[in-house]
Amino acid sequence: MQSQSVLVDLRNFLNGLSGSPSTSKNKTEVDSTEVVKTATNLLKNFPAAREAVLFYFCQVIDDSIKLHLTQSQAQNDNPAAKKRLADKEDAVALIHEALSSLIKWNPKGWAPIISTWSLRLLGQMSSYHASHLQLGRTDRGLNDTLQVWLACPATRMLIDLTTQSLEDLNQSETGACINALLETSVEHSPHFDWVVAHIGGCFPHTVVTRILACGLQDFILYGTESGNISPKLNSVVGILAHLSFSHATNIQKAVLDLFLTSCTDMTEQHTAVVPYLLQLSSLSQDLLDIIVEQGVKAINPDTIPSFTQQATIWTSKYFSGREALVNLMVQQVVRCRQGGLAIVNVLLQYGARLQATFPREVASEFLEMLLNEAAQLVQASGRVMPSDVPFLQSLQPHVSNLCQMLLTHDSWQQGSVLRLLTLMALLQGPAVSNHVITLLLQKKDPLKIVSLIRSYLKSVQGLHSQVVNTSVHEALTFQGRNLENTLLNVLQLVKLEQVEEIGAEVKCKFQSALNANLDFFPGLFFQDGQIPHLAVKLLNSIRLPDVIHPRLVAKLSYSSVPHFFTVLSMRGEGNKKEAQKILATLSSYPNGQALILRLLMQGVFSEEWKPLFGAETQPQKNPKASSSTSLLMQNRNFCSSVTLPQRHSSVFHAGIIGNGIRNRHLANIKAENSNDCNAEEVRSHTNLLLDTLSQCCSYNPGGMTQLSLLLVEIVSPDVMFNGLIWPDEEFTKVTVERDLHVRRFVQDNVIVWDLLNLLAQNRPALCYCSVLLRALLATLLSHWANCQERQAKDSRDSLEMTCKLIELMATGQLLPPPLSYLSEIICHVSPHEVHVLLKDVWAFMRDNVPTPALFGANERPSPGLWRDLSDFKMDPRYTERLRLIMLANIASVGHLYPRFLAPDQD
Amino acid sequence: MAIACSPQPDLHRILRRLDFPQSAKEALACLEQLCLPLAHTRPPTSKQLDYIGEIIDEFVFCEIDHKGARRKRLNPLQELQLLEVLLGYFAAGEDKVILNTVFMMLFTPPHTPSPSPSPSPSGFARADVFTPGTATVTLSDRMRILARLVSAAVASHNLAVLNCTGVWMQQLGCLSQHSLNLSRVFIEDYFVLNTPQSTISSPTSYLEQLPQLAPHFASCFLTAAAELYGGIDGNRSTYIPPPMCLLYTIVNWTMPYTTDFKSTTPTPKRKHSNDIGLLLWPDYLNGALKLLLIPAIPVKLEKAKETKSAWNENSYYSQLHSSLLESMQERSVLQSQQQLLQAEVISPRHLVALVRGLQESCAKNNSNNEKIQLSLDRLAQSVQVAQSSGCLYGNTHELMQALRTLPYNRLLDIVVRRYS
Repeated sequence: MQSQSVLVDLRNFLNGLSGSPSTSKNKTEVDSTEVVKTATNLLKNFPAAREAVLFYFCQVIDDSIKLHLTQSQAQNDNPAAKKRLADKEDAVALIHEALSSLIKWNPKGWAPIISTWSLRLLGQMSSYHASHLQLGRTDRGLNDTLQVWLACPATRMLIDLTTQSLEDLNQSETGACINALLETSVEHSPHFDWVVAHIGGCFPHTVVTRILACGLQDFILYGTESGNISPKLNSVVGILAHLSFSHATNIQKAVLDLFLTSCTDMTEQHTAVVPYLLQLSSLSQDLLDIIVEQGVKAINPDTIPSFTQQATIWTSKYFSGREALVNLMVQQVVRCRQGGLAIVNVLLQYGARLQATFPREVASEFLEMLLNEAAQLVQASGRVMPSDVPFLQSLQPHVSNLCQMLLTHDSWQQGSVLRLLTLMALLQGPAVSNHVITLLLQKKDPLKIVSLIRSYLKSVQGLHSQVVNTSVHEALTFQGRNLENTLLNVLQLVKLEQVEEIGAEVKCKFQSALNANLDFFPGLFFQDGQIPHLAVKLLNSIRLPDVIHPRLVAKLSYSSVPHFFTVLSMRGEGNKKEAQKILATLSSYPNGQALILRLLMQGVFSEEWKPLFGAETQPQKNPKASSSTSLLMQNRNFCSSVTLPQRHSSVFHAGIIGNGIRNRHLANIKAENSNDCNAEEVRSHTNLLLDTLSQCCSYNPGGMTQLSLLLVEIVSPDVMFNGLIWPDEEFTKVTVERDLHVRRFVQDNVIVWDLLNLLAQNRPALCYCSVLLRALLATLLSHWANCQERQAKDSRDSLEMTCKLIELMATGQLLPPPLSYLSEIICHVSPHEVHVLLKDVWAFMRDNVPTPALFGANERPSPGLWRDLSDFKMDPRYTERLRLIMLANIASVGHLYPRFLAPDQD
Repeated sequence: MAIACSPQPDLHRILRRLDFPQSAKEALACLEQLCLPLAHTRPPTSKQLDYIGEIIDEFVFCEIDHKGARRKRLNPLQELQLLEVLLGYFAAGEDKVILNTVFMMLFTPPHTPSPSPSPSPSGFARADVFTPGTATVTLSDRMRILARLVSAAVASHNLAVLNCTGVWMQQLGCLSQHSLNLSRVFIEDYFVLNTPQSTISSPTSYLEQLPQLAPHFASCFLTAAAELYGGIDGNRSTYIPPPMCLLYTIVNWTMPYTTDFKSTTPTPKRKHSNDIGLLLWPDYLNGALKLLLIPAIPVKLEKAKETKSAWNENSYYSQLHSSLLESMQERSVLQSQQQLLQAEVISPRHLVALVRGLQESCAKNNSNNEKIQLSLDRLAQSVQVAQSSGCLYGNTHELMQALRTLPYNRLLDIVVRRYS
């Protein structure tokens, strides 16, 4: 009968314990493996004996552990002890086998019992032997302890049983095991930590979820008692904090799940979740970070209504009112080290004006309190380290996101973020404020940005005085669209500064900041889009420092002159004026003027810009012809022909046949179709240029002289005979080639006449150009000498040039009356007569060297010097022929006669 | 006789000389002597009772020492020794009445029904109840030993103990907290932990014969178990299905067809109706009805379970249902003979409470339409049979009103129309 065998087993078991176990001293002497076998039978067949059997197993395991420890510490080779240990270990193995088969067979029933039992036993063993373990070393780490315990077969068996139980159970059935884990951990911490660590590491998800759930149960039971925190909750926190190092993602997920399930209904299970998590977060910094981060994730339009419903329960049941709850939450959030941005985001999102009243008020109130709390911490007496306010510190990497938030239309959001950024700047130093302003400067929408920047500056300028300088510096280093925005914004700021010059609230000046960062500007002139124009505007609007390093002046000049020409080629008056202004300003610096004038002159005659001023472009050489030309053939041609001295080809090079005037004319007609500069534009360009030049020259009396020397340098092909003195007329035969070159240059670049006119008006600058005048006159002389027309006016171009030249010299006060009036009569006389008259002019110039020394201070109220010609008595030598010619043509020029040759001269 | 009439301090002295298990053995023998007169004739005086109580406290359960101060509680091994002594004593006893008296003396329940603090007002939190290993946690020492004793008695086939327990349970009430606690331990030991003795695969297991061997205990246990698992009264949040083997065993016990000894020996039911079961029967019916209806609603058959086991479970419930109807039908046969005794077989009030609970469950689980219909079908059939067999005694008006509030079910509709 089975019942009999059960009773026999029972008796055997009780006898095997050698009498009353409480009194026995020598139970180790009994063959424990036999008893264990009986015990396992009882465990299966005699449920009433379960507790007793497990109790007995405890003793066996305890003995085994003790033996193991003494053995391992003593390191002795006592064979008796070894045998005892081996016996015990056999017994332990039997126990393991029995229990593990039970778990396997019916996990639902046995696993909770066995795991609870083994965990309690582990707890007892760990704390009992803790002092033992410590003997060897002063401070064992967790891993070390783990190693020692896992080396012991008995404890490893217990751990194995626990993990097996957890493995075999469903997720939802592990509650009892985890509860036991928690309770034991409460009782035996910290000696029990290694078990928790090991099991938690094996089943992070299960352990974390269940531990949270068990803690929640405990919280529901005891949480309402304010003040003291139950040891179980402490243990929950301890374990989770421990696991948060290696299994943070599991905890995060579990917490989020908890949040999300909590808002499904209003049962106590669910309403307690948020207060519970708040409680947890107040106990551990690591958990705080996770909980806050996940909590924020859980807030969305779907969950808000149910959280709201629950809130009334929270405040009435778990906290002493709404304020206490909000205060606690604010305290927690200020302490958290992660997810600050998400919090701010959510609060801003729900606090926005367009939200419904309900979440808006809560969110705005909360944010307000949060900011106040942070402000209090920041402004606390004593030195505040950034790490003292983790919330603000966590936002530091997200300054750019916060700046983006500033750009909303919602004034409340703007104000809040601004305050937040101010606090961060105060806490973390100028780096933040620099960053903020730099970022803001790069945003579009100047009006908004300007007010934002100014209000931000008002709050941080007290501490960070260099902030504007640094951030302007940084903002200017960026390229592209941002740079354009930056310039626009700075421009607005500078304008505002200039309006409220005195008594301004904002002490940090963008003007001075720009002055400190002038180095960047030359680079800006070559950017695309509006940037160069803006840069110029900006430079014009600030007051440049009195002294600029010459190198910088040079850089600026080299960049602003091309910009000037570029602007000329575009439409729009404003930019042109600005470009002109900057050139003028730069000219006021020493060595600036010379450079700018030179660059301007070079530009005017450069291939690139000269079309702007009506210059004749060189006809494009036919690329086909030139490419098909064989160099060899050309060389042979040269070799075959004999170059004779004194022939045309050897005297001067008059160009290539086929590229002559006719072709050039044709090319011009063609080009006119595409030419973008009509006469009007050319006029306006020229005027602007002349205006610019005279402005540039105005800072220095020698400016015009310089200009004329430059002109000579550019127009004249060489440096010989560039002096002021007019040689004998015969000498023109020597300089004929050069003269022709000058003439052609002048013909091509009509601007030269304008320039000369300018110089003529600014006496005595024209004197320095006498070489040019001479060259022109020489060519005209030879023209009129050979002219075959009946009347001079039939040769229109030359006549016009002659007139221009005479008028020019008259304006420059190089020719006194009546020679200065010649242009009025030459259209009425014959070419020969013109030739004769011009010869007289030459003779006059040869005899009266045009030197600046002739010019004296001006008595009249006009700029420049003045050559006093009132007492000048014209030698009749130069006018005799004039008189005869006039007499010969008295019919047509008679009315001019009295003016040319006053009666007293006769 | 002398000992019984004039308590002698000598007895204490003699017993104190002995060591623990031996002393308990001797004390039991003395107890029998002391109880002898009480069992048959006079009611005991309070002095006698105190004396007996002292002996029990000091020598059997070792709860106090010789000065009357509390001692440390026995360790599990000592408890096991005590169990062995008790089993031996009851197995050897002959006079049923004496044994019963001693049993009652030994296990007079403490006045507070539940000595340890318990979170829920109804005695225990439901979620805890069915976690294995927790059944004995909240019990007082003596109740725990009693529970173990019952468990041990089943294991060692000790009928005397089981019979005494049946009487004990009936005296205290099958639905009393003590009986429920006892049943919990029993369920945990034999159905939750499912030790090899009670596996479904062994048909001749001792458990299956329990109704024949210890009918009193079996019927008390049935009633208590039905109450434990059939909780529908609303305040218990989550439904916990009974263990499969418990269900199986109950079905086995109550099915008239499965047992081939129906013709020769009285089935458990007959036994009930004949001598002792009558008082318990309505409670059991009620509980069984709950047991039957509830699982159909939230049916938490997890996906992990194979369809076969789901099918099994369903078939158990069907069998249970069938046996329930069958037994109610049999009522009608017996009606003429024992009219008075069965006057209140099922109270409509109980059914109303049950219907209300059902309604709440329906409201909570509106997704599981098929299951609700099944449950309503069963309810309708039960009401129909109960009405026709006369099991339902009393004013049924309220019941019909309540039935109308349930979700629509064709059969139920017909039944309600017919009887209202």
